[in-house]
Amino acid sequence: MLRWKGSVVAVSALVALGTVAAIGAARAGSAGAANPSEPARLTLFYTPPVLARAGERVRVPVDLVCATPRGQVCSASLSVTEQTAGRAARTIDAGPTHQRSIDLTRPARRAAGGGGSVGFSFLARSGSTSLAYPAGGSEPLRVYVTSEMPNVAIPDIPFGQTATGRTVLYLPWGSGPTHAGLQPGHESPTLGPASFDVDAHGRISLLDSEQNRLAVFRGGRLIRQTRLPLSSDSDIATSPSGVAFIGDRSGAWVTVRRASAHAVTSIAAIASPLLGQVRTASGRAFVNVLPEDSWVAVDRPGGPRTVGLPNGNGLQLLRSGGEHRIRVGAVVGGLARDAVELTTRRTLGEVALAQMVRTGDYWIVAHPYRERPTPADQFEAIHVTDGAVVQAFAIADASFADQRPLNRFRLVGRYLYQLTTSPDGLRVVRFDIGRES
Amino acid sequence: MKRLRSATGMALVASASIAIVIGTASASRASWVSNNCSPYHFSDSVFQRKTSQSYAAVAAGEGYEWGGGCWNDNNRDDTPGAPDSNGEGPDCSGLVFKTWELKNSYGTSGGEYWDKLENVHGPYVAADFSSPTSSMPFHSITKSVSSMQYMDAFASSGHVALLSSKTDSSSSSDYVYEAKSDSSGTGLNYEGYMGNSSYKAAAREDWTADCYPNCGSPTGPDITFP
Repeated sequence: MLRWKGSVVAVSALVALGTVAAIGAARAGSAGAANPSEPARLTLFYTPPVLARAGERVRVPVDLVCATPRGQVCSASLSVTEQTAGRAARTIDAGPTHQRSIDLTRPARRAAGGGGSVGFSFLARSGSTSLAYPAGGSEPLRVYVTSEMPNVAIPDIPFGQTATGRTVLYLPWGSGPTHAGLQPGHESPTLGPASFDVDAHGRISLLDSEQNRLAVFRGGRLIRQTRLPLSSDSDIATSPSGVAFIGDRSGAWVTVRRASAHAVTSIAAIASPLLGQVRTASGRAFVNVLPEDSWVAVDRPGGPRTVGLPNGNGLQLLRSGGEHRIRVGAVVGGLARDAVELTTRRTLGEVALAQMVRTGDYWIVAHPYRERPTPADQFEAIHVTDGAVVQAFAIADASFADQRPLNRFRLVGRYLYQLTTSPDGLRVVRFDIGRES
Repeated sequence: MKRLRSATGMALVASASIAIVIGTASASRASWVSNNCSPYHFSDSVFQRKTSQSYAAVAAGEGYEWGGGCWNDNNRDDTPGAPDSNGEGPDCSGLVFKTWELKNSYGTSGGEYWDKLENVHGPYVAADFSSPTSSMPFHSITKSVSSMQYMDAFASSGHVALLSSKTDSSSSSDYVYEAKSDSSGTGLNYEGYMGNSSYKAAAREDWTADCYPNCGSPTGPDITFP
């Protein structure tokens, strides 16, 4: 696993003369290798508002990046289409939209009094190159508007006052079936296993990406492993019965494979440069694709995309994070329900987990951090029911290896699981949250 | 007899030299860098965040090489599974060096455009970006969504990445351009460096304003739907 640096071969002066001439010729040929007719590269970043409070200003920061093959800025324009229920769609040609915002405040006000959401879509163009969000399906992306979103404070648990879980799996670093692969960082992040999940029977599926395997453990012992190529950007979700859905990225595609005890099958390829998460609900798998930031049903990749995580029964879980707030809610019958806003004076990183037990009953794992007087961060698991915090505890950020932000926690039944890493190896740690979730 | 031995010896040396020549030429042909990279750079007085963003966007999809600094724009790692052997791509600090248009002399201010096909890494390592001294052409800043601008850096003692955009995802994770690993290459990724206390934030000195040369014109307002 450790990298090696190739040694430099010394050459004689005679050899060097001939070789330099050859290299010089090769360089002359390659220096102008970029093809000016190659289409521009478009990347569209935006912060999806997801869930808005009725009456508040709704702005969508947008950043359209256009790069020539030479890496220079090129000209691109963005069209934004808005549609509120019962009204005709309207499109604005926004022109260049580098570091600008789309203001949807007025459509959101209308939605608050009627349809409950504002649909929007993007179409970016530069010459013959175009990029559309949503990339598939006929339904636009949405911001849901609700007049009922109580505000609750995230408990201020001092840094370092963390709960201790029970280690249910330990693997030392190394190679082989009872070890976990590690790639030590050296002008790169230290990388370990990409992700994990736990099924209803407590079996832990580990994406050991540095060893290119899916390993399944029960009671701390390996019961099965399957060889498959994996990147450090892969993610896994298992169904209650233990069938695994593995998302990964391959060039401009997000791919999904289904792995059972007997076979691994490729089941979907979705045009998107980034994988956010893979999750299962009601036996179906859903993939969050980025930067579009929408959920795609793996069994219907051309179907409608949603801004919330579907639960398979027509509901969606909405979540949005910010520097000092987290919002969660549910979509029921096209309307936002049981939304809640959690706020804190602390600075927050990512929303490491958001899960709906039922509408109005959510588990959230936030990631507060500070820089002064000394840098510190920890996770905070928060249980919110009917607009009130009923349980909260802090969890240490035990990460020797860098992990993708949403691959560290899983909530299954009455347990919250955390994938941790330390200089000696990997652990899956279990926290008993005290009731069935 | 002595002369014959000497002549034979010279012939052997010549043969060996020819063999070395052929062997070395073959080795040179086998190096991706020697076949694809060439020097092209110039002193640049205008270095903007928006141009560095486009520059990094083209690096996305290419390879990773420890100590490397040359890549093309074909959206694939041309030397997969060939770690640190004159293959395609930068390492993390090499990507930041070229994207920020830094000078190839430790601590020197000013700008230098580096073509992506120039194999240069620059004098800085990740730890320099994490804990810059006052003589560096970059400095530490507060790490937060509100204080960081796009193309600022997240840096730890062993890794550095560039914040791709001021926007972030619905989970509040950040999009970054980074040279990540031999297996992942260089790319646009989705990371949680903002909340990770191992990472600090750094900004380049003396960016040219994005509005240049038309800074007198008002910036575009919000695009407002009636």
